[in-house]
Amino acid sequence: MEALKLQPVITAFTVFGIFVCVLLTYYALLNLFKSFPRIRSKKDKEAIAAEDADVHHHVDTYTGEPNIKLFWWVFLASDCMFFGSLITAYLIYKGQSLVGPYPLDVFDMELTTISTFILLLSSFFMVLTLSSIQKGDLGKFRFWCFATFLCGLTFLGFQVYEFEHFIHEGLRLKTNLFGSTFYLLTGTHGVHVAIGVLWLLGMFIYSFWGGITKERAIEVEIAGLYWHFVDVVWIVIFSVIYLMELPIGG
Amino acid sequence: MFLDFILSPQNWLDPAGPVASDQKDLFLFTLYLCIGIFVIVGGFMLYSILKFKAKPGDEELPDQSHDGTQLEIGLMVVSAILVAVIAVPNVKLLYKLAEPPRGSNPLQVNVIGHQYWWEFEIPEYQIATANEFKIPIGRPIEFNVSSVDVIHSFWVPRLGGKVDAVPGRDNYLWFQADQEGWYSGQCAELCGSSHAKMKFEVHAVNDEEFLAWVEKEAAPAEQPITELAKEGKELFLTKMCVTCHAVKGYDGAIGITGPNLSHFGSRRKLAGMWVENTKDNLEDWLGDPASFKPDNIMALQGPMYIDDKFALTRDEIEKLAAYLKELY
Amino acid sequence: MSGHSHKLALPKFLSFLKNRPTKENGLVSWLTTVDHKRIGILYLYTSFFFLFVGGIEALFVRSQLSANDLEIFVGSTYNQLVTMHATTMIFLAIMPLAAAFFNFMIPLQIGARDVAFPRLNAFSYFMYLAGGIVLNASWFMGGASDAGWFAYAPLTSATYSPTHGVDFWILGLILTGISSTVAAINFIVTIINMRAPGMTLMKMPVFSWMAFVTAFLLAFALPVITIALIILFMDRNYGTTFFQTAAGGDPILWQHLFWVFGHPEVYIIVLPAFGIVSEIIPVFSRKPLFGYKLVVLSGAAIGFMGFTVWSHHMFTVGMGPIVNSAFSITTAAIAIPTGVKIFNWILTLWNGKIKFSVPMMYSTALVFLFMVGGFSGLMHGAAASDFQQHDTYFVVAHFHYTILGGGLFGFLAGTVYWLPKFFGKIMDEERGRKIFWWIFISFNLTFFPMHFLGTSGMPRRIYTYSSDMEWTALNGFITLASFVLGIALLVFFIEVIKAVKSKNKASADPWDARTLEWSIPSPPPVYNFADLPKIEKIDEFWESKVSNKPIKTLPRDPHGIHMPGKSWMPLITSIGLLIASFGAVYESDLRYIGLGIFLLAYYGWALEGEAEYYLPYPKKGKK
Repeated sequence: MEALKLQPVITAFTVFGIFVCVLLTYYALLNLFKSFPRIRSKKDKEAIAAEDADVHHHVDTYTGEPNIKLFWWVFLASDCMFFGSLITAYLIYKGQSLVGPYPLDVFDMELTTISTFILLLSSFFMVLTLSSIQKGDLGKFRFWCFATFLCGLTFLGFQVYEFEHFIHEGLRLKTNLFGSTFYLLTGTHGVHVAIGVLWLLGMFIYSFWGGITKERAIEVEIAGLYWHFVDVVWIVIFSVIYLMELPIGG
Repeated sequence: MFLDFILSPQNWLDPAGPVASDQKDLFLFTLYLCIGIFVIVGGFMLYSILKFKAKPGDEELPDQSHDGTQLEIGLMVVSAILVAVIAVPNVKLLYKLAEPPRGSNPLQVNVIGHQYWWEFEIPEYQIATANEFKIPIGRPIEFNVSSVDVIHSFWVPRLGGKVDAVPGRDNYLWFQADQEGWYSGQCAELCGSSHAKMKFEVHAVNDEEFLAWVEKEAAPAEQPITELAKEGKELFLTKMCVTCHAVKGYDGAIGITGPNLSHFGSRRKLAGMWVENTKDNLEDWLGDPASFKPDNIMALQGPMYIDDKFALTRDEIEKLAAYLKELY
Repeated sequence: MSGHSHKLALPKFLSFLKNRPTKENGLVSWLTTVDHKRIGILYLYTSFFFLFVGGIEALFVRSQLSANDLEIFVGSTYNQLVTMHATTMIFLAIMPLAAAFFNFMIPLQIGARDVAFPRLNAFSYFMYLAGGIVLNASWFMGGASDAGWFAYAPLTSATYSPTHGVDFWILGLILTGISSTVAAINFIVTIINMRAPGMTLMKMPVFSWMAFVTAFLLAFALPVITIALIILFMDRNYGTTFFQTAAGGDPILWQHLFWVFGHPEVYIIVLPAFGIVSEIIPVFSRKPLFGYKLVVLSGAAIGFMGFTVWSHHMFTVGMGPIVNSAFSITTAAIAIPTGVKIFNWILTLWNGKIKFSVPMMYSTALVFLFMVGGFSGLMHGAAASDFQQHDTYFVVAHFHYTILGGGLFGFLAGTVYWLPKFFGKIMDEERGRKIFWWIFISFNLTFFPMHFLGTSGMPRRIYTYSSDMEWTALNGFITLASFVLGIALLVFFIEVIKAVKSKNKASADPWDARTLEWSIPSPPPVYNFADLPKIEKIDEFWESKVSNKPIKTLPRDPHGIHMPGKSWMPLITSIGLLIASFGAVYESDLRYIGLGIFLLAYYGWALEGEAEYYLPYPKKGKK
């Protein structure tokens, strides 16, 4: 066998660099839109701060960002390395399988494109979920939260269907390197989605117990942060696994 | 007494060929440089420790200055230069050692690591042997190093640095011996229970001796002469030794799991070069190989050690040993 | 949580979650604690215990090597000892020792009442303990892993390591990995968000800075090893072929993944010790740290560069001269920021009035010992000659000089230095000095001769050698010295425990130190700072002593001192994962039970909330 190729490693890290940039831009844009209606004078801000202080005792953090939000940012950065390693492993073993089925034997591009679209749509719903709770509209929050949850669940459904289909075609975890790396990478992503789906469901139920309020919109915000991250990771995975198989330039 | 280590047959600061010699030079160059810096920096530190020790009762604060940008930049530049001074000869040597000098006529040797022994093949002369082989002096030897099971590392300290034997990979190494003699080598990567016992030896000889050895090794194995050995030859078949060991010219003895035994009698040592190849040691080895090399494949899988049907009696061991000793 | 005190929104059947443990003493109080100081103490004691275990393993190894052809611990048993010695020392002793200081000191140094996530902090500790249990349980359940601490594939495959040892090893490391990742994120958030007002990053104590860098290294390096471990576990138990050549896999992938984690790991061990030394040297020289900014920046630079050198552990796998040259150069380049630190420590000593108390002795010793280890590291960086040194005792000498000389000595210094803060007791100075000399001399007698064993060709991890190799005398000598070192270290820890039990009460600031933790009583009250400080300068506490003005403080909160509530959940979640790990090794239903416990406790955790409460302030004027 030829020596371990460095090229995929470099590609993986480059892809990952781009991915992190995209994530940052994505979130910056999100924040930008969010802050449009919030541009207020300094006086207003002080008034709001006073109001906040009145509602509840407030321990300031150094940056002004809540701890929990920072936690998730750092965690997701760490998670980037997690997915980065998996993508690297996938790329290193791309084309190294000794027996089939090979990617193009089993892939159903249309199906996966639809499920990708649904996952992307859920990100949009997530934005609406957050903005409804920030406005204090609990009814809308429940609606969009449930919609996001359904999208996530649908995506998982597609994934289960896809896995079953692949297994039917003879691609199992231990069939070949493609199988191992494919199931590990998409499976890990699937677990992330599943956690997100549980989280969304939890928030949905919790909102009926009175646990989700305008003041605690931060809890929804971090769920959104996580959800968007899982989404963006899927875009990278989709590009690396599926799109790279497409013949380019005939 | 403590200085005995200098006499070690694996002391790589006592090189016997150009590769090891270059490596020693680079090692000593970096070592002296490092000792030099250590003496200067460490000396400076020792001096400050001794000079600026607080006197008892002196409670006044010392000078509180704590910045010296120029000094710091200067020190960083100096360290960067020192790093570059090491990097240049290192990179030069890395490229120099990547292949033997042009115009030389290297001898190809295939090295295959097994748990826990080394297989050596010289394709040019169609020779396959284990743990000991001869090389001609003054001629570069190119090794294709590989492994059939786990990662090992092929290393003959007095002739040159090591390279790993990785399954699925052909690694490359070359060295050359300039003086005749036995050079001790050893596996340098943890490969299992008997990692310590995975030794081998390279015998560097002059051209005539090498060619004579090659001729003998390439020939079929000698036929046994004594009665004992003849019976041993039968046992070699009936006790299933042949499933793992090859003996050139012995029909059916074509196993590849264990070492090729065609000229076993001419080997100097046995059991991973641990003991002299004498009759007594050989019988002990055949009686209980695991006591020499824990968890070796023969002890774990050999029918004579795991199956009562094939178990060896004292008598049979003697016969087998006699046969093996006559495989000269 | 940003401290909003909400009423819990819970339905009736979950209202039991509102009953939080409140015990202040006894076992229950330790199992439910969320106080960073108590968790620090738990880390300290547990890592001492594992240091002892790893030390015993080391002495077993040395006994086997004390003469040629010995048969005390042969073959696999020896390999298990070597593997577990390294794993225990790195993952269960040295790293948690750093975590003990992080836990106890970071909030005190940055003027905070606790870490950002107190319950998560407790969870980190229990996960570490669970990892230690899983790793060491293997001794009693069919043997530990014998594949070396870097567990090169394919030796770790089910074919070549058929016992469960490697499985236990994998799961143990995953558990400690979870512990470290979570702790690292916790510390990062704590440092970013919980600093006292005015303490900009460039006014933060160097130890906290190094903890900050270390935490980032952990957060980015551990996911890689976790993936490697998961892949390995799948290869062993679920029939995948990531590292199996026969099916197109490549065992070298393991080495890349392992060392992308493994090299930053070296700095994860050493940087906290550097931070400790950077605190101690200025205190005992009675001068500010020379070139604070550069010390901090070089620490960060070491952290970054630590990710660019991993392949120098793999010079002999046949990567070719181009890759080898590249990694040679990056490796040598790390010497530059490391040199900056050493120069700055020496320049701090220069012109000072140095008091040689015990912490200072360990710190200066660290500088010397780390220089020895650093220089041999520079020599390994020269790939062309490293082909000879690689995997010999020269390397063994090198990493013991860096990890013990550069790591453990710093932690010993920290133990003596911060013992007053931990327990309000101080160690006996005279005996401390004597013990220091025993440790220092026996350390050098143990590890320096290993360089010579290396140059005379002794590979590492061999369980025996024959007499014609001429290594017997030196090995015998090393074994003798190692036993002295072992006993000296044991005496050190006995001395620590004796000091803790003694009546040598320490004052709030026994060393005339510079950083905030010394501005509060020893040991600190449960809330650390009654009045949260406002920071204007580096070493605010020292400045306040010199100028004789008290540190400015924030106005008091009318509700009282805000405190996090105790919780059972960190312990229960950890127990869940512990059970799941055993289940995973034996592929039994235990894993579902364990995961179920984990999930339930996790939801409990989320729903029970912080349960903050308020303590009354002490009287003004009294600290």
